[in-house]
Amino acid sequence: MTAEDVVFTPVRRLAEGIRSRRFSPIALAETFLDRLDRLGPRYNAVVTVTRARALEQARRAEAEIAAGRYRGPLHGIPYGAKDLLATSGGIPTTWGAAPFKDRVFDFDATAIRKLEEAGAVLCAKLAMVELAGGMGYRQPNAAFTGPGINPWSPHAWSGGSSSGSGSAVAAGLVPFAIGSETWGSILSPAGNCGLAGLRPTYGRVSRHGAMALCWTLDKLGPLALTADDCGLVLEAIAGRDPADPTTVDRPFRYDGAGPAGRRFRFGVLRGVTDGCEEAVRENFERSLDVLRDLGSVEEVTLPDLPYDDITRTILFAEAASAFEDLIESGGIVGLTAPEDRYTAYARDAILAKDYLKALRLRGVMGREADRVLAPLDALVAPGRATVAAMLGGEVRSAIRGTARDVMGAVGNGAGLPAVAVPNGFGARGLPTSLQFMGRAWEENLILAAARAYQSRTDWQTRHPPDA
Amino acid sequence: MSEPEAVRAEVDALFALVRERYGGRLDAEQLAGVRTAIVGIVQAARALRAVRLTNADEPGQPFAPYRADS
Repeated sequence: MTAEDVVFTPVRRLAEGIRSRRFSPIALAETFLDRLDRLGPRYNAVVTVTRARALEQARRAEAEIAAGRYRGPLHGIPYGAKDLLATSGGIPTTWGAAPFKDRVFDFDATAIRKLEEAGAVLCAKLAMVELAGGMGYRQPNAAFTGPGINPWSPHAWSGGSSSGSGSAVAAGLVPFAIGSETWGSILSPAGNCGLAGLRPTYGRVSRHGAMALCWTLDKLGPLALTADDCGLVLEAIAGRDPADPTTVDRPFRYDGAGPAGRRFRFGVLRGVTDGCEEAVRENFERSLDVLRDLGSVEEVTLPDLPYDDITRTILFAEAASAFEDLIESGGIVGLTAPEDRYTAYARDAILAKDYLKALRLRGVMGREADRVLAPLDALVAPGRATVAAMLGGEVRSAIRGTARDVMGAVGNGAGLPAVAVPNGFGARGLPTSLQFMGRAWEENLILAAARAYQSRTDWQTRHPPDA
Repeated sequence: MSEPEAVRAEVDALFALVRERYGGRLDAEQLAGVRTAIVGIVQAARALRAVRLTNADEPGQPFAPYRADS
């Protein structure tokens, strides 16, 4: 087994190699640990390489598989976790923020524990925008590890806020990673880095042990080379967890084969490409041509509601409460981005009645989104309106109101699943993406649609030339 | 960003509150940034208030009573 055999190889194929014992979990871990050590700093992608834990898990996997106890497709597969997931064993969990850079928990987040039970091998805690971007950052340099650097260009951003999860998978430092999304933090790095990224339905994956940014918006999900890999990972981390009361008792079993021969029915929100860069719009139009071969594409509309304002108000109010101690103590002065040191003070200006109005409108938003989605298999749209921001530039953000993102506002505000996959390249040779958003709990359907798209295109086989 | 009179009055009132709480730790540039952020918050709030709801429109996140043994 050489690095060429395994780097940029999807999880499903790595799993076949492990199961047939062509690939050794120990050798696999050593290959990716070496890449994390050597290349991680180039992309500011890594907070901690978890070498000792990885090798212990890899040795256990190798012994179990040799003894005929194969656990499933993640057994022996290396991965990285966004550094907002608690890890035991003295491994720091920093939340990307200087005030917490030495903090250690004595337990594993449920997602980490479930991946361990699936036999996956934790190789790294991955960099992220400080506090998952909840303090109002406007620039890529908003983490104590430095700005996440995009493997497609040393001058472009990878995030955010799961910046290291995006960089690490795109650079072949790990086969998959776990990220989190409150609004955009999985789909954005996946799109920026030319990856697949899956935002599960709210409540599908336990957030126990994950940093809370917004209790009613936070989701955990995978970034990987393909939509198929995202499905494999989701099955391992999904499920009800008594430690997270928002999780639901709806077992998720990934259907990686079906539905065979299905003709899909796709919807496109009227005006969804307004404000998109020209190349993003062109690539989306080309994607629609592919989707028309897979089924039908029709224009749909949502009623005129202040979607961005609804989700933004919820996000700001909950983030201000979640970090009340840090904000009121003045501890935010220790954050990296200058604007993160004061912007959150403004959120004392959110009135309780306005927050509740946003929560009431969220109910309307969820019903309207479901009404539009009910006859469809998925709404499709560009994953992001632009390619990745430049490192020295300002990040356009719907969260701050400097861009519009109806799909993100509705998808996150209503807790709906979405998967992004690469669909071409735009300005400066940077990736663009296509997203599929479905009804609540329809991850299998949107993954099937994304897989069908990826079976007709080869963007997922392109990798950064210098990685 | 243009600021209609009604928005400005609300922003000024809320900014005064925030400045009272935190102004001592902020310089002029940071205070200007806080005020800009409050303008965005007020504009979002006004957009929310402009939508009429009925008495039956409840918050999307229901409260559940807690009982340790259930």
